[in-house]
Amino acid sequence: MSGVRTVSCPNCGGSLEVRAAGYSVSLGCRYCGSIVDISRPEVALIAAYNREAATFTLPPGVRGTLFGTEWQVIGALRRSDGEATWDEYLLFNPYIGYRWLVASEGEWQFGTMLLDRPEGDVDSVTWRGARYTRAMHQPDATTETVVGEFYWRVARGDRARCSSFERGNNSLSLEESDGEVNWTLLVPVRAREIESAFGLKRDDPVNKRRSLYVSRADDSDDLPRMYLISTVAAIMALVLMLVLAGPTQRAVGAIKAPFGTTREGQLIGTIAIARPWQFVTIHAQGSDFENRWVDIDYSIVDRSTGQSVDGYGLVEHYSGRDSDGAWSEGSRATNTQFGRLPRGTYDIYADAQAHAWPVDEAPQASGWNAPEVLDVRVEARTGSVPWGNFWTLLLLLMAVPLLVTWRRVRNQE
Amino acid sequence: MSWRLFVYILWTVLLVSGALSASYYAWSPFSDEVRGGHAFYGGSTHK
Repeated sequence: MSGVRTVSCPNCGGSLEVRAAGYSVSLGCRYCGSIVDISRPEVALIAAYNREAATFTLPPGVRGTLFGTEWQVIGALRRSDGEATWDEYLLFNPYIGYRWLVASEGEWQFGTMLLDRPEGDVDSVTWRGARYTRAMHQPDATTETVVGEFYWRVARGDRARCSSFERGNNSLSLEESDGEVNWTLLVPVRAREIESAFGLKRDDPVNKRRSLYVSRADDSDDLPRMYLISTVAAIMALVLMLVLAGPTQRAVGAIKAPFGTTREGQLIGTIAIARPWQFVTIHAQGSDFENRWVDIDYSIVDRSTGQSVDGYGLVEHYSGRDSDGAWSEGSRATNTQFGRLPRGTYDIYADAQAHAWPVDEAPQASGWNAPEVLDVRVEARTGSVPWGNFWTLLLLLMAVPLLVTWRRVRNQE
Repeated sequence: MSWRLFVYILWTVLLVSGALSASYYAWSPFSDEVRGGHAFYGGSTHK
């Protein structure tokens, strides 16, 4: 390396080496921890800071060869977003310039400052033809510790607004502070490569800090666990929902639904609800009719109180032929589910009326002049599972891992 | 364990607890007992 000069610390008088002389403007004293302005000839003291904080994995002065280039660590920052803390190292090579290494929870990223700005909006940007989408976590970073020298004036307490845009494992980091905007391309580097390049020990506790901002590689490993957790949770919930649904009891009856009038108060049967609360499902199955429908009004009447819970069912089936060919619609079977029924004994009643389509008039009488009716078989049973609840649960459980998967696939397109 | 996974586990616990509570009290937003039975007009919607 070249361009090294020596200055004296105005606070303690210690002799300090400026490794990137001519480029660096700030230097942290390794003897007393002061930050020194080395851009001015008289070398002025900017601020003092806690020397204890200078506990970085890569202390300034350390050299290593990464991607075929020898780099020297000339500065180190410890930054935080209030929840997570991470380290950023400024690398210097006099022929290439500056680069960054970012360390968080043992994950490393190599950063290159961009000279050409990405274009886009708050949700996504495009850089050199590749689309990057905004990451979830957008913390503001505060500088907590400064060690070494930098090509801008840096001080503890500096705040920057950070944004991150991802594409696969790579990301573009945007930092805005004091009207200055900096973009950095971050690519993951395996910890083993960093250890090999700079001669680190694997069990260095400094590498184990957690971070939200730069630990995306760690987050990506969560995905299989999320799918596993959601699957196990859904199976457990289904088993418990079956248990909580309670014992099953059935009541079966039949209705002959007339046309033009309503058959009222047909008793289907009696059921007993054994648990504190249970669902009751009434299944209606129509006979083999065509172009007919049957309205069924149910009443579940509590024998002890006389109060009823009402519901509605519809069996219908239509068919015909038009310019597109044959068509059919409707179902001759239907389920009606009643919830929040407390323990007790209930009588099931049904009112039914049949209708014809397309003209709702009484059909032809049968051979003995008896009015035509539609037969509907009705079965009420307790202990049914609320499948709507289960499918909603499954959807909400899977939504997060599916969303993460979708984002990852989209980023890799 | 990452922060994201921790939040997801909390979300899972919340959802499963809610589903089981709903099952115990036999409550469902999809149950039909609130439907009125007389305002319906039946018939094919085929055009």
